[in-house]
Amino acid sequence: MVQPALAQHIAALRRYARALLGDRIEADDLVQDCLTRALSRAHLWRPGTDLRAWLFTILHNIHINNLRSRRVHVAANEDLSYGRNARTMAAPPDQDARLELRDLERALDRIPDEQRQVLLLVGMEGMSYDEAARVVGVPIGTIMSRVARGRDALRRSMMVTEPALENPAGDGRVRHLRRVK
Amino acid sequence: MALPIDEHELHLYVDEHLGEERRRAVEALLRDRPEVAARVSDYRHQNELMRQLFNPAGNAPPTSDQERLLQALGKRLGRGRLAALWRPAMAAAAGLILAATLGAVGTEYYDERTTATVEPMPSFADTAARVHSFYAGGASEPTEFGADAAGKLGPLLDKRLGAPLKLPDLSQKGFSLVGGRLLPAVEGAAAQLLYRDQAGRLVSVFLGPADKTRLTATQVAERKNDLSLYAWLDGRIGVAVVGGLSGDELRGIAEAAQHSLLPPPNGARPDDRPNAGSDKNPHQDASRT
Repeated sequence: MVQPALAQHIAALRRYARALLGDRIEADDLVQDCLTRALSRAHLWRPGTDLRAWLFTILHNIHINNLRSRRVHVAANEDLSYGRNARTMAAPPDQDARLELRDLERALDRIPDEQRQVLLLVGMEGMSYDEAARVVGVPIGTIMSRVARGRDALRRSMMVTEPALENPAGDGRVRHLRRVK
Repeated sequence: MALPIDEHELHLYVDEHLGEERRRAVEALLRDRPEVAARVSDYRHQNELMRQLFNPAGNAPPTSDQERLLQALGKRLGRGRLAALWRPAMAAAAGLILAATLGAVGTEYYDERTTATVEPMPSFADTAARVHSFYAGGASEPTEFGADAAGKLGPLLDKRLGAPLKLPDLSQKGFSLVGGRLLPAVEGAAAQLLYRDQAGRLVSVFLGPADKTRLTATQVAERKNDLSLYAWLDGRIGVAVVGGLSGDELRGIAEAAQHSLLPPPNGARPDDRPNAGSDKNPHQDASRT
């Protein structure tokens, strides 16, 4: 019997992992590693404390370790496309909305991983800055500045589209400067 | 508007973490400053887009491996503190020879129907030594609470042992707290606090109910399996300091522990009553169990 709260947390972990990594299989692996480690450390969790923060902290630590070892790997192979590829998402009916989502996805791709983590935890998961600070293991002031820088970067990226960068395939489509709302 | 709005507050507003007063202050600012209002609106829209983009991934059916792990984790967490308390007993059932000692921390309770008749219940000191050997020996996670959370062990123990208690400070001896764990005892609970020095040597302070008839307000120094141990009765609580150190070194650490706990009755200190090496030492009997 899985507690409802736990099931919700797992959905959040999977959403977060997918947003971090882009790739479905890598995200599933990350969540699986997280659950495996959580199980082996279940005795360390104290009832009454924040289960979500505990699970996210475990997932975050595994992700950071993976990134570190991957960086070595990347340097050796000059493969710079790690992780952030081959997204699949449900296509919304509206074309503009779909483009907007794709813009956001690309904008997220371009910001540093540490800003992306914090934006997702705070903005998508609705964590308090304090909770995010505990998950990521940095002071709350660092969380605040990452949120501010990350959001500005996303905003700039979504307002201005440079065709040469945006359409390396050269499909000739030029998108207009778009303001949301 | 009392205070100017700073950038961080704007983001706290976006994420709805501001209190009523500051929220109103930000809203007043946004009415005057359309360019700031546009930014806030964009930031909120980013949050919404992220959820739209990734919710499907979160709501998709988990893989079978994830499902299996999820079930197991739910069970483990559901058992909660109870599981934490009984884990040592389960480990013993797996052949680790620990359950009997842990179950018998309070030796006043003695049930002949469930105990092999000849062996006496293990002594408090013996239990402390075994707990230390078990958890410091790498057989399991050494601690249940990290050093930062171990502060909560104090109040927990207060309640369970019925006496105010603070965690011993061994920093003068070069040992810092690694963490601790609660353990079941026949009466209430016991706790093991694990300390480590720069060289990585481990010392446990074991606190729990002790049999007054077997552990009087004296100290015991023992060497069994290269362990040194000092134990004494602090009011109603038994305290044992145990580690793989020389008897002299451990005595100093035991003194430091005693100093930082409640002052013992009559101001007794470990070196006031060094172990007489008496042949009546009850712990030597128990050591065979």
